[in-house]
Amino acid sequence: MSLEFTKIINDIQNMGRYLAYRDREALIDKALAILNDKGADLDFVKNRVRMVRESDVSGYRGAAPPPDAVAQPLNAVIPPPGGQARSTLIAVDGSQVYPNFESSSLYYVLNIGVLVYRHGTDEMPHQETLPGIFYTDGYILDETRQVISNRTVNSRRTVAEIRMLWHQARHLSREPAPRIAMHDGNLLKFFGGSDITDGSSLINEYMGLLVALQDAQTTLTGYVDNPRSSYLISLLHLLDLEPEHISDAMLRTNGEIEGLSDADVMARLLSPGERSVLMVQNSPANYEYKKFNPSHEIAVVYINTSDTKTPHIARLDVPMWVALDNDALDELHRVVLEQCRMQGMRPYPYGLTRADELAYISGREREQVESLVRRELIRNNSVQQSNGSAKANSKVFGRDSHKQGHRLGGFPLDRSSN
Amino acid sequence: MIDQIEENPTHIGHVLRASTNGFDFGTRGNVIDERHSFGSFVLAEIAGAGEACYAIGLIYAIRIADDPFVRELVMATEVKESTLKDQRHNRLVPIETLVLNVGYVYEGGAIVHSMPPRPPLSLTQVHLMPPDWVVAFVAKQDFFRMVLNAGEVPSDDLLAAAVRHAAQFQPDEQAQADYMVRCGRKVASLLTGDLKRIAHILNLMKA
Repeated sequence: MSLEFTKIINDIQNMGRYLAYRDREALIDKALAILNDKGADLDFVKNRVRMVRESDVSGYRGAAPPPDAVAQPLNAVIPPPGGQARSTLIAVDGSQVYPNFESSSLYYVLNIGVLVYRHGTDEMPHQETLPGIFYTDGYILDETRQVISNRTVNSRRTVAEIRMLWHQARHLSREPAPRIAMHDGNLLKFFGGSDITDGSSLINEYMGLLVALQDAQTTLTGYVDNPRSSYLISLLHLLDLEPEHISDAMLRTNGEIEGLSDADVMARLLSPGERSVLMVQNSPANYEYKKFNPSHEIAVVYINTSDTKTPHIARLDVPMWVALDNDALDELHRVVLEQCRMQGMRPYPYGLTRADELAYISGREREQVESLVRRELIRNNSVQQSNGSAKANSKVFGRDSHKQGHRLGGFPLDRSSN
Repeated sequence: MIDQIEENPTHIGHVLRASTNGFDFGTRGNVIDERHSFGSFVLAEIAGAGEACYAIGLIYAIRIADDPFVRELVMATEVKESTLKDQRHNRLVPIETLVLNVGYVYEGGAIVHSMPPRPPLSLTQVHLMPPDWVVAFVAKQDFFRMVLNAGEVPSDDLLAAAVRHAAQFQPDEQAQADYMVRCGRKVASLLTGDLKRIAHILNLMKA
């Protein structure tokens, strides 16, 4: 009698999941062993990083210890600081409508949302949005008269978000409370690549804004939820290699612990509320930041934002001027925990959730913008441009599904008599 | 009378959707108060009437919609005062109030206990009915039948709440007592043969 596969297929699927889980746990055990053994020796870590920096090995993109003043053993954990947060959090996020060849004209829309939340007070948070529509050739076309890419719009939105942080920080600079400016995403921005128009001017403006935020004595952070980065894993792999085996080829992967992310290890290392030690990413981009201004090299810490047994790991990017300030880092730690715990079972900064909500441009709003643009084009006799595509027009007919009739409308009220 | 509406500070929302049977109106969460009470009388101008004409309705349900964000917040161990203020004042969380039409009134003052000829349009202002209008409207109890026979509304509770709401505007205690007796008799006459329901509504009216 042949094997009835239908009767064991579920078990095989379960077996696959179990083995994958078991193997992953074994990998994490291995990573933690390296962390607690070799990562605990800060001099050993520094020597290993120095080896790859000073040799002809160029492919190392893992973590490195920060400057000596704030360097600690890699396996150290920082408990949640006591006391209540007293800072003013400025949280920002953005949304966009990309240029669309099917619309009546070429334009793009940015909407930046910001929430200002004053910790340690009962004040109502301040909310603000900054929408803008960009339609002139200078904005829409690149130097070859081609329409700009979506990545260009994203990059401009990112710079607009940081600009908004700076405006708010400057506005609040007269208040005694410390200011924390929080951006949704990493801080190590790279506006290079052939498909980003004016990337160099964007990076210059971004760097200028970092200077301005530092001058405004603002704690800047980039919040990365559910990070996939593996800077620490790469460093652990480097620590585990024999010196003679250190080469670009060996550093191309993370060896035995390939596939793990830093968050996997941090989820086991950090108890609720704890954060990791500071690290910096060893990369050409970060080196450029450091060359521009040593205060602008980007450091990272991992933090367990959960207050339950189920860990939730986030990454905080901070510029070096924040990393070197223990008080600022402690206050950031407090604010992040307070913000995340406002949201119950899904720890995420309340301010960022609200900023996202403020910035979000819904599908219906996109249609309304397009409708207004079309009306203005017709009013200004730009009829040939205002027709749009037949495809875009025809879509409108099938999408009016949100209307809701009055629920009593179909029911005669006086149905019976006495 | 119409001037009273224009000057009245009792604007309590805007129509979201409507039919001749009733309408729903929306209000921001931070402005809801005792004016938005179950059984209150409200007015909304009727579309396209030659002379000003208002639908008269009774609030029969108030709904506060949740959203995923609020669901997350209620799971938190503590909701800070700043967060509460942000949610209630800054966020555009509408409260939907549902109204059953029970009559209409013309600018000249003629009151009709029947469904209005047309519904109010979307975004029409909704006002709380001035007390003297309420007294004038409940001088007759013809609208009781509309309430008692209305589907999808808690008729008995709604009628009792409306009676109690109108009673507070009677000029004195004697008038209030007379009014309650008239209402009780009307209920009894409309529900002949259903003594349990009569008793239930009368109890609710006294509550």
